[in-house]
Amino acid sequence: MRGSELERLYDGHAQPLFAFLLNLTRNEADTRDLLQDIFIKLAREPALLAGVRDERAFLIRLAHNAAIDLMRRRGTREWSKENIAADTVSLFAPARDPDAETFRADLSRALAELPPEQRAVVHLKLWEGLTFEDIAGVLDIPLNTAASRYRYGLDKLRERLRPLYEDI
Amino acid sequence: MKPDEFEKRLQGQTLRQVPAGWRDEILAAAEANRLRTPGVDRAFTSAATHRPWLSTLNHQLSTILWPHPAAWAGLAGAWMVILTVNFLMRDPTPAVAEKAAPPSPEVIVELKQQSSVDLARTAIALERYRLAHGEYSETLDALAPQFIARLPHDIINGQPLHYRRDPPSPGSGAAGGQFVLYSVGWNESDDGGEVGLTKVGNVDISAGDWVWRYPQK
Repeated sequence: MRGSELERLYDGHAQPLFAFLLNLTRNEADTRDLLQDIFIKLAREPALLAGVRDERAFLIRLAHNAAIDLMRRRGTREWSKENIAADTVSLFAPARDPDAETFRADLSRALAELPPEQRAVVHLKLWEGLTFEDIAGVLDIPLNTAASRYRYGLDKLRERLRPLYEDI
Repeated sequence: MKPDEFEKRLQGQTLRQVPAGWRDEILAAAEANRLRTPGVDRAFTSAATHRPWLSTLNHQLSTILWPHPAAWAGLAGAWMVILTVNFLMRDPTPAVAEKAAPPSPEVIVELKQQSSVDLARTAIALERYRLAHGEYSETLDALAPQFIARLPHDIINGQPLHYRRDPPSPGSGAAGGQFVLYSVGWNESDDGGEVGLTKVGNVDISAGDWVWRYPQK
């Protein structure tokens, strides 16, 4: 794969991949490693993308598989305990308004408490704007599983944030 | 707040930007790898869901071999060291191991009891000889097979029991003589037919000989 092609892919997809991986791993170093792995793969095997109609979906799928493999190798227990306790990683851009900043921090923390499979679906629905059908294809799960994981995830977030925010 | 309003509020939160500095580093790393001989990396598959079976097997095994195969290799290595050290520190010979092991009182008592039976049987044979011949035999061998089918050996060392016929001491009242019959005892040494004694004068069966003496001292 030519350098310019890699650059095109990076400029087009690195941002959403970064956000997705960060939400899953809750660890900046791991996110960086996984992102790098993806682009190394793409450089080595340009055939991967041959005939792929939806590049974004394909890359998210790669990213998800890589994150799951990493979680398995590490052990999910160690993963979630370590990262929730650390709680230094924010998924969101800093807000100028202090109340908004607080809300983002609380939301980031609430997301971390979701099981990874719910978190993945919630992220892709809310911030990637994928349909449940797209999500099912990307994560390799049945359609109704995607829908129910989203519903459970969202309900949990609401439950978590309601005590802190009257209007929720 | 209605559910879709909640969703909208969440959607409205701006996600963090990928750090700008990563671009050059990641692209450089990717380019560097591209220039190496491309290996067939099967960890990531194409858009198609089919994985080569070897990759699937590897994937399945890696979940069993969690945390990491290297950790299992390290564990196996540690066991090899432990087993090797254990082997090297084993007792050099069984005999040394035997002697090195402190005797339990039960073992000594059991042997002493068996020895007592052997001494008693031999003493009976000696007595039968004396009744027949008027005196005790000069050696134990004279007793078999007429007065005892087979002479028992010393249970301690498998050697013949020790026997000494003494002339009758004057005034002992033992017509026909007297004898000392003994096993070498736990200390495996011939103490001349003397029993072991503790400091206060009690018999110590772990020392001295195991003795049948007629007449008794």
